[in-house]
Amino acid sequence: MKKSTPIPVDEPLLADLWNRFRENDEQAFDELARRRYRLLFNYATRFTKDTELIKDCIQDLFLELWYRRTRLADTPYVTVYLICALRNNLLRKLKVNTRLDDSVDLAASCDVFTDNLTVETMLISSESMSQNEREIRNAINRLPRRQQEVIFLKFYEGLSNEEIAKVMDIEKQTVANFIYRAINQLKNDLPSFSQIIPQIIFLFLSSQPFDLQSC
Amino acid sequence: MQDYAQYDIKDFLADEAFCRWVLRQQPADNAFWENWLRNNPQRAAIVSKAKTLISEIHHAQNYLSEEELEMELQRLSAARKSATQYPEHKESTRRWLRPVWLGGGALVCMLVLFLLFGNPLTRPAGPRTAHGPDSAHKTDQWVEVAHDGGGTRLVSLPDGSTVRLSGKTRISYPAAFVKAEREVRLNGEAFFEVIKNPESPFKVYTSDIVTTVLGTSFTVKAFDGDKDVRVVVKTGKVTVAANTARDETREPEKNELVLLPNQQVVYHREEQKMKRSLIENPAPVGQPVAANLVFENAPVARVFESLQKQYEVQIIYDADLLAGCQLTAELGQEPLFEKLAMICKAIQARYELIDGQIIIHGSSCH
Repeated sequence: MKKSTPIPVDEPLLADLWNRFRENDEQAFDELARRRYRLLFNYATRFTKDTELIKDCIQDLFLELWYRRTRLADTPYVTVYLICALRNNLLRKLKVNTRLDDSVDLAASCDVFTDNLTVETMLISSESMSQNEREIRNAINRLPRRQQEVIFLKFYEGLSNEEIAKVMDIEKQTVANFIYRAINQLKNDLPSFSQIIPQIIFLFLSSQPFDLQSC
Repeated sequence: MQDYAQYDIKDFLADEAFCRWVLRQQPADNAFWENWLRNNPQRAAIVSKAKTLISEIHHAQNYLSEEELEMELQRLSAARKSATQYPEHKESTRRWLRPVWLGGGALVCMLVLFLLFGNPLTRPAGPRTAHGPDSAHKTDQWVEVAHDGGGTRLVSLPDGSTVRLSGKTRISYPAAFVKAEREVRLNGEAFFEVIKNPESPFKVYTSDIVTTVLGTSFTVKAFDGDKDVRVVVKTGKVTVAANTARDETREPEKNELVLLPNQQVVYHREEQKMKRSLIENPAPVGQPVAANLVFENAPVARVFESLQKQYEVQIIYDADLLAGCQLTAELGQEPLFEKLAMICKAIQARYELIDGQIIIHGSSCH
């Protein structure tokens, strides 16, 4: 089996860093940024492929937090807080840049950014990626933007459906729908997924009598 | 309790508890799933496949290399330091407003130097030479001041900010700053001293670029030649963006950069592209002339650290690789790049400038 790198479970430590940096601890601030920068950067790629814009957005976010440090509230959910804040900033920035009025669907405007640029224009740290992972990346990038976002929050950051619903400001059931639709699409797109189709068919067939029994 | 025995691979992928186990590997989840697999050995293959897929989907969404991560963290750290140097004084009572830049009434100094070649200076400032985004608003009363003589001419803006115009320079500004942003249009060369107001960003529009004051105290210097426009930052932080008012088709988000101390941006008019880099001769930031730095058998990392602090530049190097490298040197008033060349010679390394950062390529000194 492939080695899997678990997401570090450092949320309690993060809450501690958060409190220390609110009291002017510069090292705590740097450490907090270090622990969540990668997550935020990767999350932002679901909104725009412009990596310079992303970097500036995240710099602005952290500097804003630093300026406002004494007025920030205590929160046990630092990660979700950061994700929400970055999401707001990104949507605002992309909206300003496209000079759209409020009537235009924001998600649609983000799709414009995503679709105009091919996957190849994105920085790809491909040497560390397997062929499978590259195919998965491409398949994900072909999903509608909001499905990409759900897939990211679920499989990159490991958020629960409830947390995802909170971040994206949608119903929990909508999150579940997005997840099922995205997984179905990925299954259709991915050869590595298809390899196990015989297994699935087999399991599906074998589960029929099981269903009946349990009824 | 879910009936996992009937799950297919898609169900496992969608399942929260299963994902949590694969991604976070908490002891409680480990115990549950190991136990479950013992009781359902026929499901081992599908569980293994689902685990691999989740793991791959996790990895596939990483777009940031280690080097980039380090660079950005250093950039952030430097910006945070300069923000600490010029702390805010005002306690805002409007917490709900969430302004991006809260700051005090500190005087913000900005020097904008625009040299426009082959541009008839007698032409009134209009939409063709310099746009505010709302230049069509006829109701706004705009004041124009032109200075064609020698020396400089001091102009006072409605918000108390001042502008020192060089020769052959024209500036126009609203009789009163009534809008959310303070916009001025410039053609030529000028030195700005801007009163800071976090609720109302100060923007200088020229034909090609827009320079925005973001926060704290800083200096901007920009040259507008026939091919390039240049903006240089000494301390603090500014944003430079393409002036997209005259070209709606362009994708504006590609043409915005944030500059930190000792960084500059060069805007190539033909390509309509901006590139961020270090200025040719970075100056020590802030403080009066520092004493010579003397190092005796010092770890080279310490030397880099002190240079980073002194010049507020980012120096990227492999700390582990250079851990054994020591240096005995006295660093005085010579330019930064001379210092770097000296250090690199001593440790048999070379340096490179990428995106406004200094990258050290060296080898172990054992």
